[in-house]
Amino acid sequence: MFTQPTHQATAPGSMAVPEGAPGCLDGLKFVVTGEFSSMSREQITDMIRSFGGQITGSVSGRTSYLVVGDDPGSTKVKKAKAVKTRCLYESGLLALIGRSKPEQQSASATDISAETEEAQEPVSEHIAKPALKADLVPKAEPAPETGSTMEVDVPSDSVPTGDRGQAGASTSTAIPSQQSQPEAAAAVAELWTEKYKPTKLKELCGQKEHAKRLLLWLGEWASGAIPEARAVLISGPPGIGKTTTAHLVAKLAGFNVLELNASETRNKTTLKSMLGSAIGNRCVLEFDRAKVRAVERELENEQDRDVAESLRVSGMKRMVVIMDEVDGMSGGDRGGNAELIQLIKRTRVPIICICNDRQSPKVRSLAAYCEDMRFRRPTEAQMRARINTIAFRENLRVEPNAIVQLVKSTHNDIRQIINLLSSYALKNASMSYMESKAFASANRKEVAVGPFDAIQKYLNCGDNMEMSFADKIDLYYSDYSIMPLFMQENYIDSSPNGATSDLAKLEQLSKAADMIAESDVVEGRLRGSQQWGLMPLHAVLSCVGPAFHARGRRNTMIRFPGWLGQNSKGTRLARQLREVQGHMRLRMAVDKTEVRLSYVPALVPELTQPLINQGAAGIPDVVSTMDHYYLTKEHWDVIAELHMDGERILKQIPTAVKTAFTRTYNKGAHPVAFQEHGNAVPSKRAAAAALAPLNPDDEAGEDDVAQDSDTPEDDDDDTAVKPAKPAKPAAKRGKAKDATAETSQRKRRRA
Amino acid sequence: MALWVEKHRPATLDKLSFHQGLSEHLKKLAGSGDLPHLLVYGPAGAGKRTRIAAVLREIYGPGAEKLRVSQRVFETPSRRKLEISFISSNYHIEVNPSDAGIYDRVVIQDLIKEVAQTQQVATTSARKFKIVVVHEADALSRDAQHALRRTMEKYMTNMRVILCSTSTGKIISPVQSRCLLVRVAAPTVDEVVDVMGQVAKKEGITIPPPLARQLAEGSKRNLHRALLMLEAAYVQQYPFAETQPVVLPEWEAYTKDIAAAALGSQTPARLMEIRKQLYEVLAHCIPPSMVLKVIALHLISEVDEALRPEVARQAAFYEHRLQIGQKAIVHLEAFIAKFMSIYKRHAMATD
Repeated sequence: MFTQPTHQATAPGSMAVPEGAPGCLDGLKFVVTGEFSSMSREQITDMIRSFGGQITGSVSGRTSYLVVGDDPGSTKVKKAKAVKTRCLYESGLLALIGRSKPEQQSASATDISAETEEAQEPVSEHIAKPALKADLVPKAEPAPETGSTMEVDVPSDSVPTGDRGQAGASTSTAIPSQQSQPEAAAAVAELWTEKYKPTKLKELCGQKEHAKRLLLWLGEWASGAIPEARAVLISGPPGIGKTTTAHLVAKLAGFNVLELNASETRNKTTLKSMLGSAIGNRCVLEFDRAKVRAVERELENEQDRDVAESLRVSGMKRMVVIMDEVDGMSGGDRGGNAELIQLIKRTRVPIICICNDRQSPKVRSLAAYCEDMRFRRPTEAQMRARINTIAFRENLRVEPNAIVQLVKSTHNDIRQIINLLSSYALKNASMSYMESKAFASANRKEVAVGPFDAIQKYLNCGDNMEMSFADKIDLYYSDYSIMPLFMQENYIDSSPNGATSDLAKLEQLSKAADMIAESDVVEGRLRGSQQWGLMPLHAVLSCVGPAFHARGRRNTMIRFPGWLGQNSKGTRLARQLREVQGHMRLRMAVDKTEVRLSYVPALVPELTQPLINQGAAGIPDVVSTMDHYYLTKEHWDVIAELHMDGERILKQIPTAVKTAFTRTYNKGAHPVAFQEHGNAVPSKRAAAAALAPLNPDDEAGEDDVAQDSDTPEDDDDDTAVKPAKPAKPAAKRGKAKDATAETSQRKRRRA
Repeated sequence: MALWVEKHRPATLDKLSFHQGLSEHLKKLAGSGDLPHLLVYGPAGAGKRTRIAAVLREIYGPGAEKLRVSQRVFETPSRRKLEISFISSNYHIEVNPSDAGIYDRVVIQDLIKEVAQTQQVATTSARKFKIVVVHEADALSRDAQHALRRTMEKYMTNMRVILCSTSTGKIISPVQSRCLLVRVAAPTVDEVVDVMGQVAKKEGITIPPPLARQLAEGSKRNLHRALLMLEAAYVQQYPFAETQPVVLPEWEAYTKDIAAAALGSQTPARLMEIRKQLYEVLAHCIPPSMVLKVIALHLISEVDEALRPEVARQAAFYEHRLQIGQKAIVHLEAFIAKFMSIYKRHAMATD
């Protein structure tokens, strides 16, 4: 069994983690390979990062050290030798950190902690003092109702009972009493996200290209022209600055913003009343009423095209409509989307639509009328400067590695990072790597992971190793019905890490395949007898375990599970096979399996060879065999499809013969084993066929063949020759023939 | 135009050409006036159904051969409608409850009880009871078998059950103990050759003895298949040549190719190709255990002697998984992957 799904230390704690000087590894780049005895790989990387070191994935000329554990990756070691990177073993790394330790702190760990506690004592007392003092003052009056209460924005119960927290809480209440009211409110009442909202293009994190495009587009509007696309659709994940960018650009281009977001009802009528007049070029004015009236008068006289000019002359701003969260239009917003599309078609005011999910069906119809702008998550590099600026202004010291960690744990959500920092700053003055990790995991953002991303995380070696066992199980729960199928489809393509020979790869893959097979047995129990308690076991057997064995590099794209398609094909054929067997049952006494294994291989030549060898002359033979077994033309097709070479055999039959065969079959009357359920009332045609004088099938068949060989292509003639048929001539013509033949044939069955 | 296998099927117990002792035994049973419940078991193509039909005829006369197909709609406890077709004559009814999948219990409960609770009306009938023939009894779910158990005793006066299955392994023991077990073994190669000779005589053709033997062996002593293969060979080429190659059923040839592919090279890429081929076979309704069997037998015949026991052991292991699992492909694939790694390791060790 797989006993160690994650890397685990073989001898945890066998080496003491030294106390190093903070930042002693600053500027050094490390690559970690292999497994370690005294701590897990994750602990090693955490340790390096917490001392300021940087971890990269592969060895290059700029790598400072390669940290080598047991069973290291051979490419990394080779590369390190090639570029002459220094190699460190576990002990070496610990020594490196230990050496940096400041001399005066060489006492034992317990002494240090005691010392620091002592050092902190006076500080906390110091802070607590004003709190005590402040307590006396505001007690009399209730908490201020203005912005200052809003500011803290952290529910009071989340503030820890530590003295620092107490101090923070009391200072915030104390401030209003000491300072003048408005200033204090301004200082504290703002969320950081508002406070540090970008005011210049260069303050945006990423999205600069999009912002420039947007600016150009608005510029076009400002110049009075109406651009090709009258609306823009901005899409992207939350917290990357879509709304911010839109507002900023509007402001820079000198537009007034009318924003409608999900907090308003946006159904058909309200949209019409709110926007209908707005987009007809009546603008929001910034100036006094007299001017408004003057402009209104002007508007009445002028034609639309000239309005823009007049507006600018009169010193007014133009307007832009921002429809935020358009994918949130639902339920109560009946008809809102359609109305929005209608408005976009004839708007004379730029409209910016913003959504998260570009693929949502609601947005898709809208997207056709908008210019598409897909915002990407800003990279860590793009965000770092901004975060540093904010931290600096707020007197918060954030380690570089802490920023990396924050960016990763929030999935590049700048808004969340700022929010996290603002709540963190309430208690602390600096953030180290380890602190950021703990804090971010406490405030972890759950993101929905699609199966394609999830399987990537499973099978990509690096991603997989970074996850804990619980994380991996969670990934299975992102969609527990499809993830096992994805795993089954994709594990083979991965080239398992550490396996160099084909044999080693096969052995790894075989282990993965075994677990998948076992998971299938578990799934049977799980779904069959509703034992949902087995789900964690299923998670491990179907996804976590196979991923553990198969993770590595992959050269192909992630594929969608082929099982679904194959399975539905199989069940369809199985159903049809059952039908065929049901019809043949009166003549033969074997079950479905035997029909497939023995009869189909024998029947296919019987049913096709005459057509291939003798052409149209072979039709009567085939029809008589079919009649003997009560088979219909559809069954003929099914039998050919069940045969593994069926496709190739069918190709050998000339098309003309095939159509002649269909036609001949449909003309004749055929014995029917039983009336299928739901078809009890005979159709008109069937009744007519029953009334017609019975001539032996073979004769009828031969007649038809003779006639067909005379006029093989003439369909119209065909219907004319057989006036007895109550056919619908219009439907029978041309290409429609084969399709209608099938339906008419179904009607024809007699009881 | 009927296939030979149907055309020359013996209709009475007297005309059966092998298992004479069994035929006599059945004849005595049928003539005795009281017939126990029967559990007829044996491999495919051994003549189980032919014998059942002959017994019915022996009891009820030619009237038992006038068959009709009817359909009935059953309602499951979850209000799903099931459409099941079955064959019946005036004296018996043949059902295949496994058509209803997991709802086979409903079919057993409703249909069989209904038959059991009505008495034979025709006074001319030789017997007071009707017979219910349950095909593919080994595919019956446990629930269905338990439902059958009590019914078999309670309505003994009105009804007899004949269960037809390939093995007794999946029939629960309470049901087995209520039945007389009738084993119909596969005919020997000589017997198959003999039957083929009779058919050839009736059709007025001659088969060279070596070809007949080859066909009998190629069919794995499955009489159906042997006759069908004979006819397929006849359609392909007549008069027969002595050295005419025996055309295996197309799925068998295809499945053997899969085994050959696994022997050819052992890489992940090849494993991927084999998966596609396996999907192809399974989608064409070939039973997965049959696929595994053909592949395993071919592999065992090809590999080094030292490796054979291990391959057989693994095949048995995955066959078991296959039986208790759901998605056939994962088990077959796991078997191939396992085989590849064993084979490769062995090849590298002996090099």
